[in-house]
Amino acid sequence: MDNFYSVLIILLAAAIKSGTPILYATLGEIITERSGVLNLGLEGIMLIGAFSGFIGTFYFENPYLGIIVAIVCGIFIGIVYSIFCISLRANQIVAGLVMVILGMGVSSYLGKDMIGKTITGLNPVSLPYLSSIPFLGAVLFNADILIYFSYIIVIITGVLLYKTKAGLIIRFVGDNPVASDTIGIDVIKVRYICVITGCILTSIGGAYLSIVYTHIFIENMTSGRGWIAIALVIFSSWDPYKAFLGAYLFGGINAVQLRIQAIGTNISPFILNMLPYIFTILVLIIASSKRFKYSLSAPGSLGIPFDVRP
Amino acid sequence: MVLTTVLEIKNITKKFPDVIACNNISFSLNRAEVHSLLGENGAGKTTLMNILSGRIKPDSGNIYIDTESGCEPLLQKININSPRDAHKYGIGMVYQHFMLVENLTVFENVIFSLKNLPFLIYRKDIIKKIEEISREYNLEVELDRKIYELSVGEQQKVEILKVLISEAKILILDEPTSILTPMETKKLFLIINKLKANGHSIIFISHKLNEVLQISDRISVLKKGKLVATLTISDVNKETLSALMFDEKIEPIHTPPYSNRGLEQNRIEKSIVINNLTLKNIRNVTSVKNFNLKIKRGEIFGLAGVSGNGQDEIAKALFGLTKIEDGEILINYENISNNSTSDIIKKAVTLIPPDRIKTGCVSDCTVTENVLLRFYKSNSFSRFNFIKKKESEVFTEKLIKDYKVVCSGTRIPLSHLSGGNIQKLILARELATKPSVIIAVNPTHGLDLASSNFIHQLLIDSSNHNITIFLISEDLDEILAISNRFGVIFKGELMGIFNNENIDIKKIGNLMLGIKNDQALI
Amino acid sequence: MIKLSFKRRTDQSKFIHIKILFFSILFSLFITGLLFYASGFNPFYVYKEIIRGAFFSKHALTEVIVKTSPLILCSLSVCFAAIMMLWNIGAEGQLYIGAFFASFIALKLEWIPSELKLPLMFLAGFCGGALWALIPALLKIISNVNDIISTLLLNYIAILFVNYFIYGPWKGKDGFPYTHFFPGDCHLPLFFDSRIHLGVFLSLIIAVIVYIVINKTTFGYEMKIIGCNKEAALYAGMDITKNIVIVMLISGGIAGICGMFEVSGIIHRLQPDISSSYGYTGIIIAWLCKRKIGLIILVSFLFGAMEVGGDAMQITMHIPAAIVRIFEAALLFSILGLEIFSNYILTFQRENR
Repeated sequence: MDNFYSVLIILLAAAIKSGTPILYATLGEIITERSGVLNLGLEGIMLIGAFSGFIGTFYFENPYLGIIVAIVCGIFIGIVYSIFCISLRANQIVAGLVMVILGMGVSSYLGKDMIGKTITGLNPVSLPYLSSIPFLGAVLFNADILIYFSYIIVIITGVLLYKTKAGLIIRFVGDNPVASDTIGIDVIKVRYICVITGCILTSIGGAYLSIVYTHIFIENMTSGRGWIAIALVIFSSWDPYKAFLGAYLFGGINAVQLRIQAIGTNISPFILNMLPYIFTILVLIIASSKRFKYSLSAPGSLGIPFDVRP
Repeated sequence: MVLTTVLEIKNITKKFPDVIACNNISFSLNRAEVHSLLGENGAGKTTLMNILSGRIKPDSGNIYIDTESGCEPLLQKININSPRDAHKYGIGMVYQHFMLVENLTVFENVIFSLKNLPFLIYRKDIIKKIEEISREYNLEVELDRKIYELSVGEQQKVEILKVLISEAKILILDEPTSILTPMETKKLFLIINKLKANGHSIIFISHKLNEVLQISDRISVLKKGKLVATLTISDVNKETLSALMFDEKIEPIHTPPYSNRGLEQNRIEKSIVINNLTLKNIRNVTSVKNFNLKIKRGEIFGLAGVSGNGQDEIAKALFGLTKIEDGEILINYENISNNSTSDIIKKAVTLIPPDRIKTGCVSDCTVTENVLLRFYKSNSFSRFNFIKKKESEVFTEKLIKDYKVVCSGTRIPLSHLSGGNIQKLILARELATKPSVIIAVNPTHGLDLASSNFIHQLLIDSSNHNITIFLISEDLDEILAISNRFGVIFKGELMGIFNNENIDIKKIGNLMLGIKNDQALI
Repeated sequence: MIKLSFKRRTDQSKFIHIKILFFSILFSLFITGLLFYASGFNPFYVYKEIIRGAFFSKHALTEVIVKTSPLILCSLSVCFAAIMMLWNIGAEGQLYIGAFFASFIALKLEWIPSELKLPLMFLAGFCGGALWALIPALLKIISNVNDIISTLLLNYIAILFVNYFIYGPWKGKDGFPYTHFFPGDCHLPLFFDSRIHLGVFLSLIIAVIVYIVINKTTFGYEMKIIGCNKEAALYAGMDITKNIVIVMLISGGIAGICGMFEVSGIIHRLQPDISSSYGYTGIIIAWLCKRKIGLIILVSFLFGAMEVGGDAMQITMHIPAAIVRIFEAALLFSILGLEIFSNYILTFQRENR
């Protein structure tokens, strides 16, 4: 029984670790989409985050500086994406796909020298008091700083969206930008801020992969996590708290799958590797099915550029 | 009382790609005055007001406002670059198409207009403030309901509430009565008078002569982007105003009583029979319940009601566009309940949809492609599944000619046509299918009088050719103008059926609000 | 203060699209040039090498043509679905499954008469792609699952699925991750003493067929109307569900055929990485060409040249071919950004506050 208990703790901790990059990206996309902008480029942005985080850590020999480099890159991407999709009113679906291509291209091109190198990443820090809570302490509070930070971000996003003026403004802009404009909200500004915030969080999610999760950089290392994050946004019906659950659920599947591979079974790793994607599609089916259709709170103007005024 | 000017606009001009919406317009507003802007649809009223509320920038011209800075009223030139500026100068607008966020509550929609809204929102203090205002002006609405749950009348209250909370001194009401019943209009006028008494200045935009005469102190008439005249209420009557509004003398078609018009024997024949119809709307809420109706062949049957009371769902159900939960629909004695749209089309039924841009046509496609929408499968326009291009072009040209649709060619995108011409084209196309039943939903909504008359005449002619017309309209005047009989719908229930003779408008208005007995509303 | 703002155009500028394209190409050449310069190369020299690598020999030119074929097919696949506003981001996965099905015929069904093998492989390729595209179509119909995400996630699954066979049951005798070579009767005939195979010509024929279906038939008309305005399509009595299924089947089928051509025409066996992101490049080309089939062929050729030139550059100068992706992204971004000028003009306004 003790054995089972310890395995469970390891699994759950692994689930959180594996879910964290997706949690960041999902939260980022929730903020972005709540303001009415669709950013399908998460996969590319995460790659750039992973790459820039890695290179920052490598050169400065400090994972914290690596994270800051990733954040700066996130800001930069956010500004570029905003200029195209908000100011120049580009098609957001195409722009997102191009962002993916750009992320793949840039990270592979510039990262060619980084492949095969390793870094010392972030180490877990046990939180005093909290980590001594039986079971929960070992699962939740024996992790690295970025995981703690993600807990905080979930709460901040939730409170911001539902309890504050700023959140109300974001929801206004996302649902009906024209009405928001008539009551004096600067739609363009709000959307810029949300997109840039979203890109920062996504970039941190990518950086987590290289700095904390693997300590290496390889081409296309996100392997679809950006897309899974987009699916989780739909699953969570744009709610940060549900995104929290969704990301860890995904992390759990991934952790179990990796665990099975590690124990060594007859099941091919290729089949096991499919599980997260299949799981994501199943989740999408449930989330999009008609029964839930009208409880979904997709922002009304999602994906539609704001055409300033008539 | 000394009249003080609070707002003045001078020589405002605004050009759009195809029209000059405002041509050198000057206009002023006094304190505690109701100044009406009267003009046809498309005369430029709304554009002018959008300039004032900061949504549109004028090409030239200036705006002056009384800033109340000194003891002497002083008009100061201002720039309104955004709605925020308009707010700052105390100008609030109640839009015709409400500017509300449907998925949020009344409370959330309203509080933004508060000056100094704190970052963390404490409900209690704010609610107190809102309730004060809503009580004073009879604008009580439940604050926790979502906007989409409200009737249009209630939504308008929210809009007015929003403007009042923002402490605006100048209120612009854009066609506020177009969605109201006669009784609700009266209530609105009471509110306006109270606002006036409290020192607010109001710009009232309308195309309805009677209402303007009732409420205004001064009236400015707009025609094709030009300000024709500004007159004091004592100087005008209906005739002078109408002469100013229209180029030539055109009157709306209005020739009841119709109920006896050509009542031949075959009129006993029923064309549409609806039994116990129950429908759900797109939010999956039952919006029509146990609805019964019989419409005779060749009559124009009107269905009056405030928008959002189930009319759209009934029209959709008749055309196979929504699932019938319960009950049945017979057309020409054939049960068409839950048949597919293409099957219903085959039974010579046709629909003129409420939203001509969204449903009735494909604005990115060419005129010919839009005409083909009804005919692409027929043998005259396709062979072995290949479309006959030439025949379609010729046919389209003929329709354009026959129905006097103004357009520069058959291959231009439909979006280049004006609203009136698009509606004419849709009607032309539908009539060309040789229907036996036409369901027309708000067919003249937003059109100028000439186009409306043209369409009304076409409908009357069709009914004279024994085509049944089910006219569903939010515009009671339209129904009274051309229908033989009409019903009133409220919350998906039929409140009564009337022959279009000696109608007591007050009673109909009450029925539209769900009030059955003769109790007075106010 | 001077403020920039966009104003709706009153006139339609005729050459605006060409101008946009021209500026975009210049812009993206500039961006990639900067990257070359930063990595210590003379950009002009690199560009010269790319052009030389793509056009200046018979071998290079035929290679470009060989690369053009899958790009045409994948863009047709994406374009076909896009007309109905369906986003088939899954051409890549459909290509793999098509290749897998075709390989199944070639490797496992040796009893089939020789002359029937190629037609059957063609059919199998189509069916494979079509089946794989049927999944997102059904998901969309039954529970309204977003087609972008579902088609994309299925790419990962498809590639893992094919890899499972390559690394597992179908692994060749020498233990490397690829299957045996197909028997000779499963190879598409070659022409001009080069790698140009029958599939290259077939893809042109498929392009013509797609053109006719889209522009001349009632089916194409329905697709267009549904794509432009769903409500109007319903109102006209069109069966959207049926059309979604048919369109996705054909769209996936075309991508599947592409996979069959790759394995049967070029590689002659099933292995990982049979596609160098043709499915994704196809999306770009389809979007650039906006439903114009003739343009798709031309642009596919240019992109094919870029791929071949990029490979040559990688070999001779050791610059990663990923730079081609960056060039594509820069090109698309600048076209996306500049498109606004086809409807708007930029105005400078002096504001006096």
